[in-house]
Amino acid sequence: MMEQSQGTAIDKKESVETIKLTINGKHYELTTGDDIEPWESLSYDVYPWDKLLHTLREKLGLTGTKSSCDRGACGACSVLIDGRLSLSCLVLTVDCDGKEITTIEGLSDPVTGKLHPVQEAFIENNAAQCGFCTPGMIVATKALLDRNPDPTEEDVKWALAGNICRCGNYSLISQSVLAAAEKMRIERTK
Amino acid sequence: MGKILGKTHIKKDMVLKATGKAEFVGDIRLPGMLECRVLKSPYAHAKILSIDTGEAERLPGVRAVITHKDQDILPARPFNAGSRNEFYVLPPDEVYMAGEQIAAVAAETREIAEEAIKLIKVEFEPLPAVFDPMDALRPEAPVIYSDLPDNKVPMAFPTAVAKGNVDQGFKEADITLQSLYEWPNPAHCPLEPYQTIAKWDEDELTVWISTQTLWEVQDYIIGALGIPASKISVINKWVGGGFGSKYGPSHAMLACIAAALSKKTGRPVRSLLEMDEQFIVSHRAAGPGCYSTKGGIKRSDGRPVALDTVVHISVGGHACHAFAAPSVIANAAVNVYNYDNIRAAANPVYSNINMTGPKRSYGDAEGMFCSEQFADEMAEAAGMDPIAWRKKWCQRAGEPCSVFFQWGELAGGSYVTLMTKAAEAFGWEKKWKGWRTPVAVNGSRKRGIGMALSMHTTGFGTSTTLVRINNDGTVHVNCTAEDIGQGIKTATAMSVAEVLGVRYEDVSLTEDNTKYNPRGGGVYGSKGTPTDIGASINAARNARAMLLERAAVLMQAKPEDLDLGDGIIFKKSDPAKSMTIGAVAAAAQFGRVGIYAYGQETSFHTNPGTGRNMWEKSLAALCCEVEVDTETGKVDVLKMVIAADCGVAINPEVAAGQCDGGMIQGLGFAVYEDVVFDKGHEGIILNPTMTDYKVPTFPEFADFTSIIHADPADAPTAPLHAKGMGEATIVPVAPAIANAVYNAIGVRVKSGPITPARVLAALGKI
Repeated sequence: MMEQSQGTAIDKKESVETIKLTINGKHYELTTGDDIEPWESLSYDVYPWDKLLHTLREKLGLTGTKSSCDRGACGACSVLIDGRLSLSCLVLTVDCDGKEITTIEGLSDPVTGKLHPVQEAFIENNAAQCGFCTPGMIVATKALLDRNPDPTEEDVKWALAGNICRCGNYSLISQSVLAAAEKMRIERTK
Repeated sequence: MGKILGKTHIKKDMVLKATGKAEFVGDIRLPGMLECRVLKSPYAHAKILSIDTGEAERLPGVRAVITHKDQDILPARPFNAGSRNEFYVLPPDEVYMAGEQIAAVAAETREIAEEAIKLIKVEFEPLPAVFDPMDALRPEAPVIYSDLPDNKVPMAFPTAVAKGNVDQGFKEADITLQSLYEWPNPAHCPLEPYQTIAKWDEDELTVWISTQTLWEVQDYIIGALGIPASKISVINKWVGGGFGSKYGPSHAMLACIAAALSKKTGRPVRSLLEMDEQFIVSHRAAGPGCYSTKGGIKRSDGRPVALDTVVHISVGGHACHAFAAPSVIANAAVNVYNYDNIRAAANPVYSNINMTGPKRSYGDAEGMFCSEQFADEMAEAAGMDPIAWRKKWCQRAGEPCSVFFQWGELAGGSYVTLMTKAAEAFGWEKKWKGWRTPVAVNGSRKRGIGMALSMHTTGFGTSTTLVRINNDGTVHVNCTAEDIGQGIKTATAMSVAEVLGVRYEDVSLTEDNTKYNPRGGGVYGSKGTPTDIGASINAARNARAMLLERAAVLMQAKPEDLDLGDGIIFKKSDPAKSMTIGAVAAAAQFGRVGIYAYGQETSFHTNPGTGRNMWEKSLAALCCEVEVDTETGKVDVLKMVIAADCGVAINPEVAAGQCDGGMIQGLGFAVYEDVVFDKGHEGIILNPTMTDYKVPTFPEFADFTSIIHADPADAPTAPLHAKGMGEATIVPVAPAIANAVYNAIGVRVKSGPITPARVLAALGKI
């Protein structure tokens, strides 16, 4: 589906399969297969060892999701898989066949382009310093508010415990999450 | 303060960062881009007998392999002065630390490059290695450089500072105390590891790199690749955290490697480090070391009459920044209290660990972890409470202090005011129950309170800026302002808008690019605000003067009769007579070319009255309450209040964010973070992952309060009286926590971080 990189292609067509992903409401069909070494062929969209994070960033150009620790310890790569908060660095893309994935790029209103209340609250509260944790932090916040619309400060701390902000901006982030909850409450009552 | 400064503005990058659109170097995709992986040494110290890259080169998908043959040495930098500071990006014959880079591959995919790395055959002859400075100083220690058999780093700069007669001072002292401390050895751990891309186009090189010091990276590449400055562009994007890691040779070396590979392949090459590699490749703040100090006081009033401090520090095999960090650590106490007699010295020692280099506060967090605990020891010996002793003997503005072992005077700021503010907000007086007395006990858990002071020099070197006023009255600021999350691009735009009387929204900044921008000094040493923004302020002031001069001609008035605001230039005597700034910039009489003005700022300044350097410093005071579980040794930090000064707070909420961040990082430094070397097995790092190296997470964020003390008088030399505050805010956290732990459990933990094991050892339980 993407422009093919240069390399030594070996004909293994019989092993090619297709997986289907829905990402931010858009449907993707990606080729995959096994029985292959990295240097043998460059023709698959998804290799058996590719993690969802890699596919999002390198194959689909969705670079809003950040790659940091690459071992599930920092939360920068957080996405929603079928609505559930997941670390895309710990999930194989081939295991996502048929699933619905939401990334930071998919949070705004698809029709109006209006930002999600969580995004608005983060912006209004200057809740990013370097901003590398921010997409993951916002996705994790959405997951929290989807299941607990009225969190306490303590709820926020534990819900975001897996998302590290090395700049230490937890104070403004916490403020933003509570502000986002308030915004969403107001929207619900409208 | 004005219309814009001092009022919180939403940072220019907020929408980009909240939507995932902010572009970091790792987000750039170039057609035909290759992936780079690097072979690292498994030995801390070894001779390289041979390198065979043949098999790696033959692997399908591999486009190039490079070794020392493809690189020159890195050029010397001033902060390394005197040390063995010129070294190969890829060494030809010897490695000095585990993880040192030896060869690099560019291949079609990361997996292929990874595989090729395994196929490079290096024949090593392992040599004995040494890690601790005290071990390296023993006569029988392995020698790092054969022409320097004592392993001491030869220094061209002063390594000691003195005042009065220390021996006499100790004779006059009624009480003499002696202590030995060891600071923690943390990693920077920015969430965005080192990232760089290099691309040759004919004979021109473009490098994208996540950096705090764009121009320094260019200097390194020019030196290592021998190309003229006219043929290179180095470009910065948003930076996913720096904390000092993206300043110095460790990240620049990766750019040199990518550039050499791109030259060899004729294709763009990117080098994205994994977090685990970042721990291994990056320099350390201050290698393992010890702080040995002796102080003398008078019994009557606690007067500090003598101080004798010696710091031994491992600076690694390549001794990057070997001069500066040790001198900052040794200077810590000299910089805060008025001792009558002083001797302080730093001994940088070669060893087989990572290079010493910049990390947030550049040694002050390490030095003051020790010196601020020692200040408490002095206060207790004097029979005074910690705040009373500090208030009596801390330096005041105008009093002598030393930076990099050079005497000058404290330019501004008041420790006393900050202590008062922090103590009041914390409720210190009500809580304080005396030395070694817990404020509350609940079974095995004891609570204690403690405090500490902090300072960090702010401003350094020279930066330049061009301000352009467009024909529509909007403004371009052409400068190098690396935004590492501190909000410098926003603060620069706010400052320029303030000076020119235009809307903040009408000021935009150019991307950091060495091809088009004037040279900036980089963001380190809390210099972004006084020096880099300072240069933009000076350029805006020059632009303003030109505007008024031209408007005077157009309006038939004198420049001094005119003023400007809200995008309008008007007569003071008759504000109805006015022109828009755009109309002046676009005036046909002046060629319709807009207005261009240049500005420069150099820190530090000299006091014309005394002829001394005015050391501009950001100061802070912090009070905290901890709970120590005497059964498990765990330390929980329940409450912190920091009061920090900044002169003018340009963007107050963002300034407070620097304090919040300083407290969180300081907390990690105090109780968790320590890079552990396996000293028995080739000096490899045992915890180079975020699974094993713990940094503070959300649940540790407790009752922490940041107080910004904004008084322009505190920053007398900085343009618009705004000084940096990103670094002084991390410094007081660890010593305040250590002091609080002491008051909770009655014994002092003199080595950091204050882990459960160290607490239990101090209690004699293990």
